[in-house]
Amino acid sequence: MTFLVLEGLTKRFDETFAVDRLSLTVPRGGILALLGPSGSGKTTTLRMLGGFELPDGGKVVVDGEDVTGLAPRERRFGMVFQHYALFPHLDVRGNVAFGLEMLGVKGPALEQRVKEALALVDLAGMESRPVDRMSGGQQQRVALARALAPEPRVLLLDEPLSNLDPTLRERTRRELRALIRRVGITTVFVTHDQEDAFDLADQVAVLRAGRLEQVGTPDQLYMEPANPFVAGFVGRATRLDAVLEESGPDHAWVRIGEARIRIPGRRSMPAGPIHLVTRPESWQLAPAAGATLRGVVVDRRTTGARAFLTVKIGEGTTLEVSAPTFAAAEGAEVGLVAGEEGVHLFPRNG
Amino acid sequence: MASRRAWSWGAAFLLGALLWLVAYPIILSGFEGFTGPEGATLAYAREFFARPNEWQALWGSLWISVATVIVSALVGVPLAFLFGRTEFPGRKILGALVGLPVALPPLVGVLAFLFLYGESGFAAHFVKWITRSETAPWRLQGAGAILLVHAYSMYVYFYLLVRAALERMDGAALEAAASLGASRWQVFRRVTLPMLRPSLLGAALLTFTTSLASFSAPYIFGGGFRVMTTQVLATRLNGDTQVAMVETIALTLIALVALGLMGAVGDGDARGGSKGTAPVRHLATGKGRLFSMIGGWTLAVLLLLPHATLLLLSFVPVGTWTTEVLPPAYTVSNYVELVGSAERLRPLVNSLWMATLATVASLVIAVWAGHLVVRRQVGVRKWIETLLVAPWAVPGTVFALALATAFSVHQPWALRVILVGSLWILPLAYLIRNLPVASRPILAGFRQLDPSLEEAAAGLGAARGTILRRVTLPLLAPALAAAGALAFVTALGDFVTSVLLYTYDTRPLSLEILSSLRSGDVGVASVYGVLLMAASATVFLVGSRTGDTAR
Repeated sequence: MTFLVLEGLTKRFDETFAVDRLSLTVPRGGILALLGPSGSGKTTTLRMLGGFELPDGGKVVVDGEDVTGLAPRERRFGMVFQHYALFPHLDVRGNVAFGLEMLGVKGPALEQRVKEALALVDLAGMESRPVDRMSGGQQQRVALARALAPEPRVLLLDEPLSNLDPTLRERTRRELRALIRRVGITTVFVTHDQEDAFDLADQVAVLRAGRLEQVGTPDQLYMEPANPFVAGFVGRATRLDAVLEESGPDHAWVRIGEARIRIPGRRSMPAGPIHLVTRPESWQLAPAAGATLRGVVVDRRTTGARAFLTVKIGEGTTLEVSAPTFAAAEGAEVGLVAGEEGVHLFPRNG
Repeated sequence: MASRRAWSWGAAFLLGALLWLVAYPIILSGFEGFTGPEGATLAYAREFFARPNEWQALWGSLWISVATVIVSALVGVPLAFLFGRTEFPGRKILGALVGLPVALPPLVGVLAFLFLYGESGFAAHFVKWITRSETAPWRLQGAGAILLVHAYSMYVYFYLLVRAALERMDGAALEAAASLGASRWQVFRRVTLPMLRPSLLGAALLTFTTSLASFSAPYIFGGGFRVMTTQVLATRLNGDTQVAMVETIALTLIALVALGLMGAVGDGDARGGSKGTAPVRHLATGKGRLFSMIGGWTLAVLLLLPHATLLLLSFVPVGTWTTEVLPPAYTVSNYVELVGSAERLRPLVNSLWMATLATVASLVIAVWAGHLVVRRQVGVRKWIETLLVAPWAVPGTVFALALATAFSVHQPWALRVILVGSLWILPLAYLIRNLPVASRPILAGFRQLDPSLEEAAAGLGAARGTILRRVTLPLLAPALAAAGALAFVTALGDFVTSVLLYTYDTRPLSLEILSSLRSGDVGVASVYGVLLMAASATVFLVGSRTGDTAR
């Protein structure tokens, strides 16, 4: 059931479109990630949801209520800012109580709800701590408790993990996911990190230059990217210019430079110039002799059980290939065979 | 690099020199207030408390200072919001101009106010012309006049500190409050105001101590209104030296209490904004923008009128302006005469060499102190720092009297020599008065300087002198420029210490302004005023620019 609707949301700064006719829906209790590089309009979108920016067009609807023109204080959205924006002059209790006091909650009820909110983020008993003496992770949890305490309709998170160091990040991500699921709150968050988006969200919206490129589950985005940008932004990928010579119900023939290779799977599209986007794991190594696509390993990085090979298949053309660690040494000549999964063909104009 | 030692000969020497120059004279004058012909006595203190005049002066100093704080806040805080939170055409340049009065030497401000709002000033002439009246509509005298001048020069503390705090403030915190359901008024009362608290308190105390120490305004406009600073001078001129000393002690104690409070508040300042601050956006709606623009321009014009007055009057020939709204005749002869006549040029030359000497010396001491306090972290660093800022808390009148006491007898065994009446007493007084303004930016500069830069230079084989010359000083250049400029202007325009310590041969600009004024030579007084004004404006604008780039 749809709970939050963004309909044709548009924001211009001077003459450029920061967000251009963005439409998205989130079901009740759903978690949506806005994923994109910097300048993609994801933060502007979040700020329009929070009411900090007024859209130039489109609307925001929550639970059937149009909140587009409402001030932040009137829309009952909880926001966790990138740098947390905790009130430095208040202690933990003061920060968490703030929103409740604005709702007119007083006395024992107030203390009770502050306590509950702190327990929720695992900060029970920290009421009188000054917020500027806390670690980044703790500050973030105070910010979460502060946003959740008034029981908002939607939770907004701006780059929730960008300020944490890598070891803390992994753990915080798990905790955050568990917390959001437990509270069951409809959540929208912004990130430039694909791993964060995939790990936390049910649905990921990939934005570029203010436009929605694709929205879907992490699996959908990875397996069926709608265009070369999404394919390249989500996961590791190599993009090559190639020519589709013929396609059929169970395979296609593609020319890369001199080599003509067979790509398994159903590919129904007209012949012509294409972008060929492949994942490292879509290739299998084969003996160089007799292979139609051959190359030389020019770089090799071991990650453990597997290694990433950079294979030079022509002048200025390289492919990234994942292979068992000891499959090939640097300088070796290898043959490459394409698999069915993770190989994407997109028409190329001109 | 340099080894951390609790003690060193350098530190001992600097500490000794500061004790001798800053603390010793004050302590000596303290003794004098409690020493009679027959040894220790409380007679003078009793006399002080028995005189109703003293109570009046004490009360006058206190209430005028409190009133100054209130009026300055009422002017400065709204201005800070206007220039810190809104955007309108001309905001940048006006925002800088609005800060100008702080760099204006107090006597020059007083002078400008006299010509603008005094009973024979422009405003009075204008009102007389409108009402066709023969008599002046008001007299610029007493508490009201002092308050007006104080507010004019001291609102800047509120303006600058609050504006800086507003610009540092985490904009996201305000958005967070709005998102949590706070109305604009609630955001202001519950978030903005508490976050401004350290700046407001700091500005209040700075205004309070400055007002307490203010001498020029009560001296010229006071009339029958008594404050401690002028009272000290009057008592001293009456020959009641010991009672004057008791007065200086009383004034110093009030000032020190205020400084202590300022220190306590300053500690709280450290927890100002959170990290990763997003700047507060400037509101730019049609009506508000127009309102801000009109308000900003009106205020700026009002605040710059005194400067314009001085400039205009510097072109008025002697004795030509009497009852007209605007002076009828203009000439550059006042300026020409200044350059042409050795007698006229003398005060300018005096002020220049004395201010230069005092500035250079205070910079040397400040850099040396910065090295010892910040880099070497000598054990006595707290003492050195306290002595460096102490002259700030001690009103100028008190300091001048203390120096006059300490250096008027020849007792080498007590480290006392006769300097009063010599060429050197004024530069020395300026130097000591300059220590706070010179050392604050330089110590701050040292603290921002990454010590590994100096260590890198040492690692590359540079000797200590080379490191200082090639690395430390160039990196400190903005701080040195700001400190030097401020110290120079302060010394150049000094009135309060000069009036007590000058000799005819070393008479500085401010004294010449006063004597020109007394002989009715408005044009010449204005020329000197304009020179000081130009110097201070240059320094202020340069200083605020280097401050911007340093940020």
